[in-house]
Amino acid sequence: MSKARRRWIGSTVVIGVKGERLEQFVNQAVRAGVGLRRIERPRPDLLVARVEAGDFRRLRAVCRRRPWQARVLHRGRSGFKRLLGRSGLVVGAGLAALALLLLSQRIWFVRLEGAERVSAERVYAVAAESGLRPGVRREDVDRDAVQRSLLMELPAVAWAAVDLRGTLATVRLAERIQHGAALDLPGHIVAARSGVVERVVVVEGEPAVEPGETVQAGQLLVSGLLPPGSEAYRAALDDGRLPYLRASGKVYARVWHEAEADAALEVAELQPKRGLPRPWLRLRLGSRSLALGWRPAGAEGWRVQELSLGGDYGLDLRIAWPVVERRRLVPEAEAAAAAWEAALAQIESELPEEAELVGEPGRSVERVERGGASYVRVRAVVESVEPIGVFQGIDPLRAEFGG
Amino acid sequence: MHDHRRLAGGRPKVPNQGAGKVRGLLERFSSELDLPPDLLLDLPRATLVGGVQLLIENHRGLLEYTPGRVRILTGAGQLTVVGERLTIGRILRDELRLDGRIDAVYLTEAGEMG
Repeated sequence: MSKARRRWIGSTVVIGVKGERLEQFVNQAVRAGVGLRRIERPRPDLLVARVEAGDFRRLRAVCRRRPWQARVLHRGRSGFKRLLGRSGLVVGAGLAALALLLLSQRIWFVRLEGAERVSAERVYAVAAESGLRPGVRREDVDRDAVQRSLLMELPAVAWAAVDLRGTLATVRLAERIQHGAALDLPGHIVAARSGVVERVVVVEGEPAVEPGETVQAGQLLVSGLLPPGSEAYRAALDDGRLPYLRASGKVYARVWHEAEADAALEVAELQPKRGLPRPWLRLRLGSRSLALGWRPAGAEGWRVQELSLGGDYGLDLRIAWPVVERRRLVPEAEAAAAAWEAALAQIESELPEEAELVGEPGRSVERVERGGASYVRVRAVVESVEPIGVFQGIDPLRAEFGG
Repeated sequence: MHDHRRLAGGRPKVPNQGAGKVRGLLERFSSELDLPPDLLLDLPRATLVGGVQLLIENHRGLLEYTPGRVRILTGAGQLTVVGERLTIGRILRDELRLDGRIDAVYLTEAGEMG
C-alpha cells in the first residue's frame, strides 16, 4: 500500500519534540524514512509536527540517540474518518448510490435487430404501446405481451422476441418471406435478358423458342396459353375461366455480361497527422440533448468515426482524428487492376446463382481524360449459361386469346 | 493567480580542483545538450509560488528553522528563506515545502559560507 493511501486510511498524530538543535531531529527523522508534515516551532526548544501514527515508534528510536523528548500531543482522525464526519458528503454519496441503483432497474435503451422491411419507428411505437419504452422499470415489462403485440400489429413480422439485459432491451424480429406473385396466377415465362437459347425445360405450358435461337429481353419463352382447340382450352371457356395456365419451366441461354469501370491515375489519400483526436459526445434524453466536447468545424482535415447507441434515449459518440490529404500518383498497371476488379465485381453482382461461366472473361483497357484528370477504363465481358426466364402474370382484363 | 518563479542554483566553489574540472565538463555537457542542469549537476530546484509557498527539491537537510528564518543545505550552497510565520508544510528525503509569508530567498554559495 502506498504511503499516501496509508496516510488516508490510517490516522495521524500531532507530536511535540523538546530539546536542543531540533533541526537535527528533523534531518534524522527524514533519514529514518519518517515524513513530517506541518512542522511549527512555537518555542526555540519545542517543535510540533504531524506524523503517521505508525511512524511514531521510529521517531522514538531517533530520540533515544540524542537528548530529545517526543510525545504525542493529539491523535488526529484518519482521512477516512474525517470523510465520515462530513455528513453532507456521506448523504450525497448515499443518494448517488441509491439513484444509481434505482436507475439501473429501468430500461434506458431499446435496440432493434432483424427489421429490414418493417419500419423501425413502427416497431418502437408498437413496443412502447405494449409497455416497452425507455424509462420503464425492467420488472414491469411483460415480454410475452410485447411479443404478442408485435406479431399482431405487424403482419410482416413472423417471429419476435424481447431480451432484457441490464438497462438494454433488445427486440429481435424475423420477417415473413415475401412472394413476388400469387402462386395460382396464370401467366407466361418471358426472357429477362437477351441471349442465345441453350436448352429449354418445360413443366407447364407451350415452349415458344428452341435451342440455338436468339432471344431479346421481354420475348415470350414458354406460353401459358392453352393450345386453342384443345379440350383443356374448351373446358376452361365452358367454366367461364380464361384459357391460360401458369407456365412453368426453365430456359437456359448463353448470355454476355458487360461492365466497365474507371480508376484514377492520381488519388487523394488521407493520412494520419500528428495531433490529438477530438471527442464529442451527445446524450439524447427524449426531446432534449446534451452535447459535450469539441465539435470539428468541418470534415476537412479530420477523419470522423461515429457511434450511436439507443433510440430517443441514447448517446452519440464522435471522434475526429486529424488527417492530412496527400496526392499520390497511381501506376497504370495498379489502376488497371483496380478497375478490372471493380468491373468484375459489378458483373458478379448481376449474375444469378445458377450461372455457369463459359471461358475466360474478356477485357479491354483504354486511357480516358475526364474533368482534367486521367483515368484507366477497363471493360470486362463475361460469358455464362444461365436461366433467363421470369414469370409474367396475365392481367385478366387485357388477356388476349382466340381460336 | 500565483506567481511562479524558479531559482536556479549557482555554481558552488569546490575545494578539489579535479572535481571542479568534472563539474565544468558536466556544465558544458548539460549546456550543449540542453539537459536540465539540476539533474546532471545535483543542483537544487526551488519553486516560489507567489510569496506564500516555496518548494525546494534536491535539498540536503535543514540547518536552521525559526518562524522568521529557515536555512537549508543544498548541493549549490545554503538557501536562506526570510519571512514570517514560516512553517514546514512537508519534508521528505529530497523535497521540502515551506509555507508562510516569504519575503526573501538567498542562495549563499559554498565558498561564501562562514
